[in-house]
Amino acid sequence: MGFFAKIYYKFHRFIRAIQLFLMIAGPGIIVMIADNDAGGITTYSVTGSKFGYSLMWFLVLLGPVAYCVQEMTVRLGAVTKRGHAEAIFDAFGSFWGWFSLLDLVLTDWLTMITEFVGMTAAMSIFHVPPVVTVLCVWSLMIFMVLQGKYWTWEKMALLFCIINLIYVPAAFMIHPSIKDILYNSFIPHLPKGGFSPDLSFLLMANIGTTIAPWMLFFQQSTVVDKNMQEKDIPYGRVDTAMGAVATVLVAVFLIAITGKLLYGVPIESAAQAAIKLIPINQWVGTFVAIGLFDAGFLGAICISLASSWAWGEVFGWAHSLNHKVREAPWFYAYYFFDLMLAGTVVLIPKAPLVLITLFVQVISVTLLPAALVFLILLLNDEETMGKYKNTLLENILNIGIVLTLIIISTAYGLGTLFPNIYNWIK
Amino acid sequence: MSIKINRLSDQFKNIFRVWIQAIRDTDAKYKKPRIKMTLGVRIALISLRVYLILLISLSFFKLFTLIYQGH
Repeated sequence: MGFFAKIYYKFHRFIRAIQLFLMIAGPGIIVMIADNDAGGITTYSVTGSKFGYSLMWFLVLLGPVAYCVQEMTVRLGAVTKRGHAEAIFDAFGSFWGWFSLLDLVLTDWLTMITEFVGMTAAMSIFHVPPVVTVLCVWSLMIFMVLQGKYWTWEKMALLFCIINLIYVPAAFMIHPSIKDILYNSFIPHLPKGGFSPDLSFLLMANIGTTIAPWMLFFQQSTVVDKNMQEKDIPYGRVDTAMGAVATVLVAVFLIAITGKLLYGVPIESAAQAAIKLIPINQWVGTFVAIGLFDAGFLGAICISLASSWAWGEVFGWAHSLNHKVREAPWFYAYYFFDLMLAGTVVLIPKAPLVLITLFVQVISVTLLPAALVFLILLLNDEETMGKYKNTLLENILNIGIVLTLIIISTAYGLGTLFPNIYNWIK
Repeated sequence: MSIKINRLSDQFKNIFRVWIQAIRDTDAKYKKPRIKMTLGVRIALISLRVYLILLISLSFFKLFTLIYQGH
């Protein structure tokens, strides 16, 4: 027996597992990295410039939280073979189903606008006019889905996911203190000045960019479109965990950049951060701009598909990327309509786009508990989920997440109604 | 010209009718929920929904206030 044959024989199970993982990997990594979308990149940039490294621990904490939530959609999709929207309609009836679908449509459309805001702002740094950016993005996004294969779309999306990791080498270029990063990532503490309306707003925006309603719908639909089976759930978990690690890495390294180079500098968006970084370090500034465009693009392709899948599931239209346009006309029509509508809004002159970007994250996190409650209820349905239903520990964790989200949203709401309440708390 | 406008309006009416029918069919298809919720769970879900709508309204209020103030 040859040397390589011996190695293959010895490790064939392991090699087979890796091969299987590579076939199944995709939905988790894509959804988690796409969650670092243009709004997310803006949120992280502002967080770093306002609070330095002091909120890194919060983003590290959000990684496992995002994993817990998204892992449930893997199990639900693989067991029921249904998308999230259809699962809610079927289990809770049309009254709650319409509510969930409307939540998704509202947050998706608002988030899509923020993706276009990010992409046009990023390309403006390279002197590309917004109209040209919007037209190019539309063409590229339409080209991606017209391949008629989920597999092709997924591999192209994975390529954009790799580009999203550009913030990691960019951070190393400025030689940040690893000791400071580790300390701030693993030791929870409040920034100087304690609790404030700004802090409450940015905490919410950071949660909103790490977990969002569209992610639940998207990952479950991709699991179904990819025809994942119950036996594939462990691979789906690894895929999701790897995505969660990548999302935290991007967030932490971007905060490392803006926290070191722009701490105390008043910035409102990632594009503004890139512009201010270019005179300090041209490569880092350029990388931040490229990353911002990539993040917006990745977010846009995932979010528009999440909505199209949801409408297709509910109305019973053909809804798969494996279908040609003539086989699933409404699925693609909604996808194009969503793209056109969001892209057009960005071209409105003097629209307060940066403010809208940050508020969209807040709206997303406020609507998240409603979506999570249904997800938890579905995962506790023994008749459907069988041995894959939530364990007691998973329920405690997930209910804890919902309660925390409601408390943080309430704190933000109170801060809006009574702006001086934080002085009273101090 | 008027014939063209009429045709276009008929086409829009048809699309609208198809949509309304699709919504009605979906309502009928999912009329009976598979999971029966107790009254307590229903009240909790409705309360949560109303509360979240209130918070969303507050967020929009703040957004428009900031835009009005010129931020």
